Order: sequence, then structure tokens, then C-alpha cells
Amino acid sequence: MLKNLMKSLTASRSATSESLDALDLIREGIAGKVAEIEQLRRAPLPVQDALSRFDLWADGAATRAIDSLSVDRLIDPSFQAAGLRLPVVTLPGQPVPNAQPAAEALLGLIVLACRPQLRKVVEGQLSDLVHGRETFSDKDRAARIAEAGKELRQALALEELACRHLEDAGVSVSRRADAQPELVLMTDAALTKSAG
Amino acid sequence: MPDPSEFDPTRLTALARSRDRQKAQVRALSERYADLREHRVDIDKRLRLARAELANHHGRHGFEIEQQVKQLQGQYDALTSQMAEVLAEQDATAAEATEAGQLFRACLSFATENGLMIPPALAAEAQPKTFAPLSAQAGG
Repeated sequence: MLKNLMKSLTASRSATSESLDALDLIREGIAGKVAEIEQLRRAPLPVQDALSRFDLWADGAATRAIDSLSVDRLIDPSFQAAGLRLPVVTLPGQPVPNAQPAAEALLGLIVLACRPQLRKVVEGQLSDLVHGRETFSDKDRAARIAEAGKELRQALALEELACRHLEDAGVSVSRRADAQPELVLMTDAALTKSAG
Repeated sequence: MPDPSEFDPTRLTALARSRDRQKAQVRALSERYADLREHRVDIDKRLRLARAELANHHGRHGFEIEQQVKQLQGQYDALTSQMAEVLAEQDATAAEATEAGQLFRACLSFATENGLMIPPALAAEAQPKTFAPLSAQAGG
């Protein structure tokens, strides 16, 4: 697309209105590329990658749950009524006990006791959530964003070239306030190189 | 660190010129608006006088005054319409001038941070703003 825009700009060197149209096209292309990058950032992970995250979390949750139960009390002869206790503590200055660690411990114990069933349910839910949507692994996402970022940079360089072309023709154009200073201050030669 | 040979800091001058041109355009539109407003105040005064006169005259003379009122009202409406157009243009130009100013400052910062040669005419703008403490001013 960028090559076509460049051709369009070059072909319209004598026609200001066509150059302005070309600039509008380039700006549309920039907006599209920015939206594409945002979409790539928000695209979901594949179900298998999400399940790997689940597994990592489940390992940690189960370990923390067991650690929080103070199992060592069972072998301590000084405890008369030894048993497992959920971690419910009242911090100094707090009117009510903090039940959050206990709730997390219970969740960890559920994971420990019936992880395969929970995993299957989670997998089904995730499959429903990503149904019909394009998914990307972290590696693929990074590669696609890098590629789109490169194309965006080319389009931004092309936009600056178009602005200069119009200014040289005596046409006043407004640059965007968020134009990249690095491109705006580039020499024509370096800018042409950046535009590909 | 970008390669300094790839940059042309004199482009800052063109950006500053563009910013200044747009600022000047905003000022010109503001003055144009004030002129139109002043003219409309004058027409409004004449219109009130003509209406007061019309209330006291009838017949041929009254007809002439009525025509005058119509003419003045037309001028008043035309000026109101022009004022609205100028105001809309002023708003749009002011927004563009603000954007041009922001871009210029961003480019000036980039040039300063990367050790590019700042055009002499813009050297003062590239200096960081320093303010004397109030106590220093009070102490004279």
C-alpha cells in the first residue's frame, strides 16, 4: 500500500489537489496502521498459551495454600489440639479479620484437589472466548507488531515527505502535533531512505 | 543516539516560521472580529435610533424611515453572520497554531537532547526557562 501511495505522490507532483489527496491517503494509512498495532496488542493468546499461564498460576496457588496451613503444627508435641487452620488474622488497628489469605488458600486447595476438572472447565471457557478471533503467541505478536511498526514508520516518513513536497509547491500544510520530531528534522535523503 | 548527519536542524526555522505565521493569522482574525463587532455596535445604535424615529413618524417620511430600518437590519444580520464565520475560522486556526507550537517545541527538545546545532535565531527558545525565586525578587 505504501509503495502505491508513494507512486501516487510522485505522479501528482504537478497537481496540488492530487498531492493533498495523496497526503490524506497517507494519513488514513497511518491511522489504519496505528489501529492495527493496537488490535495486535489486544488480540488474545492462544488457548494453549493461556493454559500454560493457568498451570503456572495453579502450581503457585497450590504451593502457597499448603504453605499457609502450617502443616508443621501436626508434628509439634506442644500443640494439644493440633490441626490445620486457614490463615485468618486480624492486623493491629483493623476492626475485622483479613479473610483474603484464607480465601486464596481455599482456592489453592480446590486447585490441588481437582485440578484436571478445573483445567478442563477453564479450557472450555477460554475456547469459547477466543472463538472466531485471531490469537497470537507472545513471540508471534512481537514479530507482527515489529513488522507493523516498521510499516508505520515508513508511512510517517512518507507523510513528512508529502508535507515537504506541498510546502515546496507553496501550499501551507498543517503537521500533526504528534508527528515524530526525529522524522520532521531529518534531511530529505534520510527521510526518503526511511520511507523505503 | 541517532546519527547527527541524518538531521537538518535548520528545519526548525521552517517550523518556527509556520508556527509564527499561524499565530499571526489568529491575531489578524481576532482583529477582524473586533472590527466587525465595532461596526455592528455602530449599526445597532443607528438601528435603535431609526426605530425610535419610526415610532414618531407616519406617512411618506415614515415609509422612508421604515426602509432605512430594513436596510440597517440587513446590515446587522450580515455582520452577525460574518462574525460567526470569522470566529469559526479563528477557532480552527488557533487549534492549528497550538499544534504547530507543540510540534515545534517537541522538535526543539529533540534537537537539544541530541546535541544538534540549533539555528542562532532560535537559541533563546532552546534555553531552559529559569525563574528567580520570589524571595530573590523581594530582596531586590
